[in-house]
Amino acid sequence: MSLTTERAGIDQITGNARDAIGAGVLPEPGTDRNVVISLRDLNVHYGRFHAVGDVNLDIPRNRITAFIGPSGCGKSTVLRSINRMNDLVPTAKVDGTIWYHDRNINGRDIDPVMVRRRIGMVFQKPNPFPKSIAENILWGAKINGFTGNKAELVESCLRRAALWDEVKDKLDASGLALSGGQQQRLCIARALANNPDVILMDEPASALDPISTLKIEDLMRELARNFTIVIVTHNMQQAARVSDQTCFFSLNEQRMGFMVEASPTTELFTNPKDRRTEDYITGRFG
Amino acid sequence: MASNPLASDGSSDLDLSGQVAHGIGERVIGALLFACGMVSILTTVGIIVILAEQAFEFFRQVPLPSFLFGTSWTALFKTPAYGVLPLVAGTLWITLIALLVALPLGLLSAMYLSEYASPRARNIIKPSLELLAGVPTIVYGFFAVTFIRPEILKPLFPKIGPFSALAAGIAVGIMIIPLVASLSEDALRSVPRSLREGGLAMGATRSEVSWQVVAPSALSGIVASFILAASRAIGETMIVALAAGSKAQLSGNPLEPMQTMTGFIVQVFSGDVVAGSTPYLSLFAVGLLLFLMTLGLNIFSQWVVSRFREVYE
Repeated sequence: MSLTTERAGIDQITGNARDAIGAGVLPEPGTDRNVVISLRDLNVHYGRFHAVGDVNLDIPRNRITAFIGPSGCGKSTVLRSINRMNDLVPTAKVDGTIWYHDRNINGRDIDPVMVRRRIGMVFQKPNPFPKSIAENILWGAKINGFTGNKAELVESCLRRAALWDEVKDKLDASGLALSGGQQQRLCIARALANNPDVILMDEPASALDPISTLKIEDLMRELARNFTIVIVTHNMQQAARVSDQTCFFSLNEQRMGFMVEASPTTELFTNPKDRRTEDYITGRFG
Repeated sequence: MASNPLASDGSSDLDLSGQVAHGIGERVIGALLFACGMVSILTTVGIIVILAEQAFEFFRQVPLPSFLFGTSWTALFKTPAYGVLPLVAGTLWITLIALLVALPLGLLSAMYLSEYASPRARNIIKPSLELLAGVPTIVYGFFAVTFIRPEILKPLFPKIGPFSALAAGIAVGIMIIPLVASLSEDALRSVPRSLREGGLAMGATRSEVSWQVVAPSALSGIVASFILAASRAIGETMIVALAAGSKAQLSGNPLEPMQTMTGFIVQVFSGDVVAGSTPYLSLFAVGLLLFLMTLGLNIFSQWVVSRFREVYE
């Protein structure tokens, strides 16, 4: 699989160009086809500030992984490392390996643009482009060299984002004319148009009302059948409701974020391995 | 009067009367500030009244259609003709040339400053551009006559005379680059960062995001900067007075000298025209037309901004 050239097929897994690493209890990255992303010894610095330290985590295929933890614990930073969005912060430095299938996408030979075409992202605040609903979806496909049937693509993405019935009669209306919840689903539809296999969601429902939030959560469950989803959320109930795996992050006295534990969601919320996780989920801290 | 349900026994020692009188002081201050604001409005009204009054006097001597559609302007000749089209044509030629210079350069500078420049480069280049905006226009006129024409245009067009619409237009264009760059840059920078991130997260390159997401989102501000630049070019005086010549002619050749509306006004004021004579009154007619043209452009620009502005929550 190549991320350095244009649109390589996802099935061409070659398995070369990989350093052997010892990963403790975690399996060796790239060997388990049910793991899409493996973080190994991930460290992020902003200038001299050590923002995130030593994260090791496997993200399973077609599952929802939730990052929870107090403000400033680095969960968004970790999320943004996965699609190389931290490259946009001039002072940011990401060390460690981020295995995506069998490639280290934190490597120097990797084009972040190609990474982002496969790993889509949905942001905290809905950010549709000031273009029509249809154009919002077609834009990403266009820059990716999409040549198929545009109307079909628009319809299938909107259907998969559970937005089609609400907007099918106004595809030419501005994306900004929609409600907040609809805008967020439009942003999800827009991400789907690139046909990614991973979708990162950075607090996708925190700017939405409760009903829109539930719609987004239902949609996430639906999407998890075909996509691997990683969601950052401030809302523990949301993590408990939607995710399969939950990772609890915390921060130490130097304000460095680190991952305390990653467990199947029901296990983390009913029987946490770590005392700090228990303190957080029972409301004694955070 | 309805009885107050809270005042059961009718007695209360709660005193809220305060100094009701301080309302007067507030009102005086409000009135003074209002008067300051009125100065500029009254000035504008005064300008319109004076222009219109004298222009009306002019139109009693020269009928409006022959002013607007006449193709010969010889106001200061022995046999005067007052067809304003040659002056309008000169103005539009120079404005067109100026815009051809300023719009691409200004927009590209704005794009560079907003999307590509490092903070350090931006901190050097932006003030330099603003410095360019502070240069007196007479210096640009001088620059057009002593540099642009002999050093740049003469080698390209050997037949060019000492005065030409082209040299003046290029100088006007250079003069309005900072205006276009600065206003367009403001428009580009006001596009929320979240839109850029959204574009980049789709796997777009920086230039795809800049030109296909950021620029369209800032379109109203960019167009408004173009229109304001046009209005500035139409009203520019010193550069054209120095570099364009004073020959009012309807010509399709920008290498020839031309006179603009503003250029004519300068020429008359610096000459010895008798106050109250027809050539003198023609100034006001030309001035009024100029005023209406720039006013129309400014109103158009405000309309563009309000009509096409994207409102981001």
